[in-house]
Amino acid sequence: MGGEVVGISVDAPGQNRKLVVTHGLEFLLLSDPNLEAIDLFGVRHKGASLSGDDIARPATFVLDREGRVAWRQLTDNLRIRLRPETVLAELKKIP
Amino acid sequence: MTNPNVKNPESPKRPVNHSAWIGPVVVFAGAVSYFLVFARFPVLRDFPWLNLPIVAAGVIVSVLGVRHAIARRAGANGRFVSGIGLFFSVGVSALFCFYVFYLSYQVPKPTKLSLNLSQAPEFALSDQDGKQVRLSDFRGRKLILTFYRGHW
Repeated sequence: MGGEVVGISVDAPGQNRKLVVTHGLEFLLLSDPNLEAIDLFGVRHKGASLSGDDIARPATFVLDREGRVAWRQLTDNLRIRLRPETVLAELKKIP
Repeated sequence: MTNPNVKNPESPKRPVNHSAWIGPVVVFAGAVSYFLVFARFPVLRDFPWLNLPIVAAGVIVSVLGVRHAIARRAGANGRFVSGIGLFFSVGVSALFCFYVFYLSYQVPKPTKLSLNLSQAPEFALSDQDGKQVRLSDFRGRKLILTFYRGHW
């Protein structure tokens, strides 16, 4: 299978560090406070934070070994999360 | 002298109106346990198959509590308390439904860019240790790139 997981949000590295430690995460959390990558992927959610700042909307992109988008999921509900088995099945389809 | 511990035989002991308090408690437990417990299970999270019936049952019990208070000719106090209970139950269940059926759908429509992207654009961001990470660092490996709202 062999895939890496990377999470991106506007949170600061220090906040992400805490999250990694408390939940024992074994993948990278990238900090995008200026919404650079978030805009490159078109996943900005305007004024969605409690303080009215822009943040990322939930979205997942599965990339192949050459960095091409092989699959994507842009949920229409904050409550309904992507299931691990769904992503893993998509990952397996990639040679 | 009357002994306050001895019940006045002329006023028969009124049974406690249990449904008046059980209803609101069930509604509250049904709503809160969705977030604290059952949201961890995808099937019960994606649609509140368990919590929605619990909340609805609590509202019904609260209605019964009010009917009970009226039917048993409870004092003004008893009717008032059961009414407050019903008000609470309806309020909490309305908030729960508002979140489940409206608030959680407040996500922007997918942008054309996000739908049409074929080659992932290069970027460089700090990881949790402050180390710069480029997307191209993952070339040659499959990657699950997930954007999330974060804790801001």
